[in-house]
Amino acid sequence: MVKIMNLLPLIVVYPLIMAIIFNYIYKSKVIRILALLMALSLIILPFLGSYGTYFFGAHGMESGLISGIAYIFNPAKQIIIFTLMLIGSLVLITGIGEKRVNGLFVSLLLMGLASVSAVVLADDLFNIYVFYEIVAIVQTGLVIASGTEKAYKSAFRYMIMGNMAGSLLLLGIAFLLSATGTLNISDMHNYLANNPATPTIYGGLLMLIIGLCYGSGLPPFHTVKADIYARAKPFVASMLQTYSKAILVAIMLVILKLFGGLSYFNTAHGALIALSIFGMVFGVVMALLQSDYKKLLSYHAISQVGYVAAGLAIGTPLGIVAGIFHAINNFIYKSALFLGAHIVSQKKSSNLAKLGGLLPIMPTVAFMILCAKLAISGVPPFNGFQSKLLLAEAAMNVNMPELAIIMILVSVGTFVSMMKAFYLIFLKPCSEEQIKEYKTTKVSKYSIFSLAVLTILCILLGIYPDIVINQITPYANEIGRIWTL
Amino acid sequence: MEYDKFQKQMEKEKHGDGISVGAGLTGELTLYSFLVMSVLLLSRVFSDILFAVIGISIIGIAISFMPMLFKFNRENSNHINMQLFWVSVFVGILSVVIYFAK
Amino acid sequence: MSYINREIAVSLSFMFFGAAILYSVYNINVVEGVNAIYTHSYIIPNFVTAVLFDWRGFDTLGECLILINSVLVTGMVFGRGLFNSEFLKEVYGNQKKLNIDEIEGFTPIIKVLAIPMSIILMILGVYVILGGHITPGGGFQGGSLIAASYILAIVSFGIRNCPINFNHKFLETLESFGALIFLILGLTGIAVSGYYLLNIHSLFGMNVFPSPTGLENAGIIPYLNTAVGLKVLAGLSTITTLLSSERVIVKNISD
Repeated sequence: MVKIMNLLPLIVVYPLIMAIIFNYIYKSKVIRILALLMALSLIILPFLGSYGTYFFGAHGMESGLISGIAYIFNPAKQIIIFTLMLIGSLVLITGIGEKRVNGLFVSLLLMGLASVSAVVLADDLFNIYVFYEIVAIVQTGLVIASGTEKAYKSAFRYMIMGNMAGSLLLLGIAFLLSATGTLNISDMHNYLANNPATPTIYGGLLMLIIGLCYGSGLPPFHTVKADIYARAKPFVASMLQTYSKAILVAIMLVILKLFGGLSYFNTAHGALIALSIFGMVFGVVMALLQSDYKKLLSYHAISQVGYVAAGLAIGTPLGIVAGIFHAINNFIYKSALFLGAHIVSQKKSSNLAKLGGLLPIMPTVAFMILCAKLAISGVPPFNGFQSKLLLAEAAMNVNMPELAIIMILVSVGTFVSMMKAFYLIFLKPCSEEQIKEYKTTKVSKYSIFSLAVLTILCILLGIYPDIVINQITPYANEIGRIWTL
Repeated sequence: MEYDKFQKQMEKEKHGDGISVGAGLTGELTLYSFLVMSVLLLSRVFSDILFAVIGISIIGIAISFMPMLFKFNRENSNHINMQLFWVSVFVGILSVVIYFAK
Repeated sequence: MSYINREIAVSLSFMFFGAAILYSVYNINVVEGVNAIYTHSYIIPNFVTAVLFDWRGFDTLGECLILINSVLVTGMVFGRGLFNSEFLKEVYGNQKKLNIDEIEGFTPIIKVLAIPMSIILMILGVYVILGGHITPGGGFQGGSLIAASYILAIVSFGIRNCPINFNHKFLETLESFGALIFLILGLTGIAVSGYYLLNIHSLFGMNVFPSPTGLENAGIIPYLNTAVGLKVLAGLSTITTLLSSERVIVKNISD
């Protein structure tokens, strides 16, 4: 019988190989063409693997425990990785339009994509840790790529924090390994469910939460994270925030899978919900105070991380569906907004005080940015509305109307600051000279193309949310637990 | 809190135009209502009347301290010592919550 | 503004955090679990290498990639592939030409001793890499030994006059090559059986790694060891070259 080969590891390995090759050819002339081909081939990757568990090196079950490294692949993970790869390829395509595009940038981007998909796929704590570290380093590199003094500084700060959080996460994994004797998440959950709690397990839980906060940019790491988004090139920032959110989803699901339903998880559960609320509110309040467009968007990225975390932290099946769906929507519209910021800063700058009157110059781009802005504020018929509705519903179902009210308030704040930015960029009257200046500067076609694709996706998912929700629901039912306050 | 004072403060931080002041006010109110809502939620979670009383007094104190926005902005600034301070407080609180809460 | 309140808060919170960690460490009670499988099934004499390259080979690949990424990012910090090198030009552009490289260096005693030492270290490194599956050691350790010998030579002679001279481009090639070998050896596993990084013992009836009886299971492990060794030595040496010479930066920002 001919068995169809399971090419699941290629999702991770193929970008890695290409990354090394791209680094090697660094400044070749064909790099643009190769990057374009690479961008196209990335989209095929999520469809290569077959569903189920995959064992590396054929080390499967031995005497009741999984002995090697395992990946778990299912439709929910497939759609997360598909969105990730789509954003990755759109960012690559935008990057082709840049003047000084080079192999190193492409290489780091691909490394990040591969590692984030590994974190999403892996069912093994140490493997998650290894690739989590790679993502942290890649993010630092991508920030430094913009080459300004502020970028160096913020990357350095990010690295300092990363040292702390990364080593604590490793310590936590060591605690969990010593307490349960395995690194595989499914086995570990079985052990934890059947054995009494020890302080060592508490230690592991604590460190996992700290690692989660650093990887995703929940408070208290939100300032560092927002800073690196703001200092990177805007189209690179759209990639950075996608990485962070995918890591948030992956590690949050790991925590839920490991500890969900255990009695001692209750307090940590409360802490996670509190952290997500802090993320939402702090992000949006800081965003309302910004006068730099990139910085404003960065703080909104933090605020949206809070939403996703809130949905996942609720931990009911509906909450998890809402969380993952919001994460996917967020990948899309937040990347669209950052790409919009890229176009705007190509025109002049990202300082809101210096901009204005761009609407007659580029009405289509303005319309697309407006769509993304409406999507992030949760206005129907865009995708943000669908997932925010689900999130509020999930909060009501666990008898936490306060959480739903906070979500709506934060949405209002988001809308206000987005409209402020829209007014200051596109509608504010400006002088004749500035209009002339606008007309002379050109915007690359590639970034407009990427923006258009993302806007279409925003509307499509807003009208047919079931495309995504149906994929996620089985996985959410498997992990989620129903409870009420 | 008076609008004029608030606007002056905003002008000091270089966002004095109308729409930015409006955004700032929204931020202030979001912060305040977040406080109210979390006190409500906490008092309901722990189903404790004492908690509710303390919470209401905290809300009252917060009103007299308005605007909180600028202090909040300072705490969230990008200075590495602020960041490290909040990270260390965070790990302390989190360990108390996870290990020593009921 | 006084920070005394903040200091008290920080010390309190560290007290709680430290107490929590100590409490956890004190209560560690190791469960054997998957360890029993690792220690009871024999693959090669060096059990650590067996875990690193056979049971959990994919993690080792990840570790290698962390190193590769660090090298890439270090290169980026020194001006390779930036979108905008205005800042670096500002810092390095106006400086007077090379002042560090012209310093004489250490005394003859150090110079005389350093070269034999570094050659011995290098040989030891090669030995540790090649024997990684039988004796204690492996790619990481051997690679860092070789890199250490290179660093020793650079420190005592300065990068200009260093008798052991690796070209920057050569190191880069070596590094990419090492990582590629690892990734592609993994792919052969897929081609043979569908499992990535499968430890193939024999291909077409021949042992993949010619070895005496008792070591038939070594399979691709020695090759993986060599790949990791190449990668580690090249990676660490690249970082050293970058840190010890301004030439690279000046070259990077000039184009």
